[in-house]
Amino acid sequence: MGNNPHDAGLTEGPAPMDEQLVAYLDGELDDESSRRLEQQLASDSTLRDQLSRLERTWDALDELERIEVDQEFTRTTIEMVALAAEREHQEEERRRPARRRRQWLLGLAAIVLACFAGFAGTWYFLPDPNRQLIEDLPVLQRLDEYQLIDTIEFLKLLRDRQLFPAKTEDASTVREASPVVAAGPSAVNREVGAGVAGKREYEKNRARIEAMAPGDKRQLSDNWRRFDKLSDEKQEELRNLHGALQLEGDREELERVMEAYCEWASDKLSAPELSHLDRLLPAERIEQVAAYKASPRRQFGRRDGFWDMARNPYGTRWFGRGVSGSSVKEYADALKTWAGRYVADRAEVLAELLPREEGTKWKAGLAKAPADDPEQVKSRWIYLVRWYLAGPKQDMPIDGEDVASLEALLSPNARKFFEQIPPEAKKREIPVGLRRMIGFHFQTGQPEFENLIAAEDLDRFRKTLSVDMEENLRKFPSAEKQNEWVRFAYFQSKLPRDARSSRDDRHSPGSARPPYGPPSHDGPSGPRRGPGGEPREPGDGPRGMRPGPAGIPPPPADQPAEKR
Amino acid sequence: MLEVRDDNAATFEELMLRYQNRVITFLEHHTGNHELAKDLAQDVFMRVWRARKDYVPGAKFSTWLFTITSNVAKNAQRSRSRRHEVNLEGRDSGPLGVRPLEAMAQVSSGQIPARALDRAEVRDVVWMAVQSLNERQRAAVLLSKFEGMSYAEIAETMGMSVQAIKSLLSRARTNLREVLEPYFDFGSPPETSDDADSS
Repeated sequence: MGNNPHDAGLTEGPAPMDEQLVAYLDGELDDESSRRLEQQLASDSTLRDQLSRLERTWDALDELERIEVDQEFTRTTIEMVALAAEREHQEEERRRPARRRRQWLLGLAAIVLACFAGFAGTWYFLPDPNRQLIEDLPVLQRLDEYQLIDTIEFLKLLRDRQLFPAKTEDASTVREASPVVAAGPSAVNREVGAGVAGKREYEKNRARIEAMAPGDKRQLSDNWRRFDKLSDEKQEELRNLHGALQLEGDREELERVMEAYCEWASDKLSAPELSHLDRLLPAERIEQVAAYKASPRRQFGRRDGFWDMARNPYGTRWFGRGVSGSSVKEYADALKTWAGRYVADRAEVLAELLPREEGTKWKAGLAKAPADDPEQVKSRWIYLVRWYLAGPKQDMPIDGEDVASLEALLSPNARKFFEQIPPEAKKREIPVGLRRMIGFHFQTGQPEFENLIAAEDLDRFRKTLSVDMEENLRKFPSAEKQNEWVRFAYFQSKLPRDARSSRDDRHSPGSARPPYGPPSHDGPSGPRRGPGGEPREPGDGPRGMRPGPAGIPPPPADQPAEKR
Repeated sequence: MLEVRDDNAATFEELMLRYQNRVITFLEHHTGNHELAKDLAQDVFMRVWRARKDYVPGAKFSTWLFTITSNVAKNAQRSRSRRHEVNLEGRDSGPLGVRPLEAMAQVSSGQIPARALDRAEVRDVVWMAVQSLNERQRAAVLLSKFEGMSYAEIAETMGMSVQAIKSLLSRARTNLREVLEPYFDFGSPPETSDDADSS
């Protein structure tokens, strides 16, 4: 970030260029300024990147929830207003001659009555507020898919390119709600909907919603809220997509391709990638999808459980503070280089902490790793991972010199946190941070970690898993994801005993602020404590859940989390 | 609104039904607390009713309404700060939540589509990023994003100059970028309170 002149002073106050860019995005620049800025944008790729990053974060705000209040809120507020009106008129009344009192009482009664009659009328006599939801049910049930597909042209391109061969399951099992889907509110169907058949479908849709399980209803309601906040134009596009799909002769095949694509996109693409695809025309988009599909795993693009991973005791945490954008990779490289130097400098000591045979093998491997150029020094950090996997007797030893050299690399915010830690605690925090970095790599299936553990070791480890753990694992969406978690669990099993203890729980879920920092502004972000104020153990898991063995999440709770 | 000003209670109710979700959305994201937002929203509508006679014909109702709303939010924020109150309300699966594994296990078991969790993740991170802005930045962002207000309308609502709003929104958006980018690029959840400037 420091190399980017446009980024200067972001937290103290925006550079004028940022202000111009933001005003440009908001359509608040005058014609002349817009023209000038566009000229600059055309010739300055850094500026374009700046603009695109501002736009990306602004677009992300669309994800914020639109709150809908319940009828109870409306009722009580209207009651309060009616009472206020009553009090107001009583005041008035006291100031008026007695002969007009009756007239005002009548007026007041009329107001209060109008309040409640209007309220009741709106809810019970005006058109059914759920009408649109019921009509749009088929679109809502496929909202995610339709939003990802966007146009029928793109879906046909997907089919033609055969990037996602349709699964060969029986057509009847594709979608249980198929008859409803066919009765959607597309331009075509809405015309039909005007007649008796439309009314019948409408009633069928209503019956389907009524028969839904509470969880499905919540999902539908969530989809409805998201749909409702789309522009009218976008809503119509999605309805038209649905309508067009119904008219296709090979609808079932297209639906299967759509499902396969959406499953892949949801699993493999990051939010920014999805957002990027969304902006492309069908012909460009298909090329981009093909490129994504053909590329090896992208470095930070995996989505499954990403958030959960970041909140995991072994996810990234404090040393990632205040690092953003293009500086992320640079920063991670600096930390890896530090770790690479550390293992080379401490080779003897570290080898002694391993079982004898493992230590010899580890040292011999490290000796072969060249140390003459910075890239190679960085690549040696993998030996820190190998060291942990070899099962050390105790955690990596850190002295004052290590603390100073690492501290010099930290981002300003990470350093601010680090400076508040007592000197001795700093020596313990460094291995914690590095173990989290390693855990992050395991959990996101980083390519450089793929072959670190021999397949037979992994198989052997897997056989030691309890029935419950296997059961939990089977609930992951793919075999690949299962393997990532097994690799991570294997890594955890190799950590020295003290490294597995509550030390790491300081940054576990719900503990956004470590114990050393200043008190949080928000209650729940303080360190997680047990009932007696003691730090909770990592295996404690979320409230009401039984511990997930070796980092594998527990099975779902009997009762899903209640939505607010 | 003119009918409301003339004591037409039924019209007031219609206004309320039209605007209540928008007001509560603003307040919830502004205060970060659902229950408090509901209380404040009731307060807003009470104030609208009481102040109906002050409404000037020709003024845009939504600007007038959100002037009241942002004042109520600002006062609540100040009084919370004075009392050193903290927000104890967790979110289902968010950064302050307690059930990420449940959510993940639900996904894994196919109870909800994986994409739903992705969106929930992003929503929580974005929510946290908005909470990390200072009070004025947050209000300006919410008015701009959710209410689609122009700089001039935000300036009128917040009682500031257009130039000040321009700078405020620019700071807010660069701060949001700083907080959100590590998540987009690296998976690091945003930090609360640290990065928002104090202007």
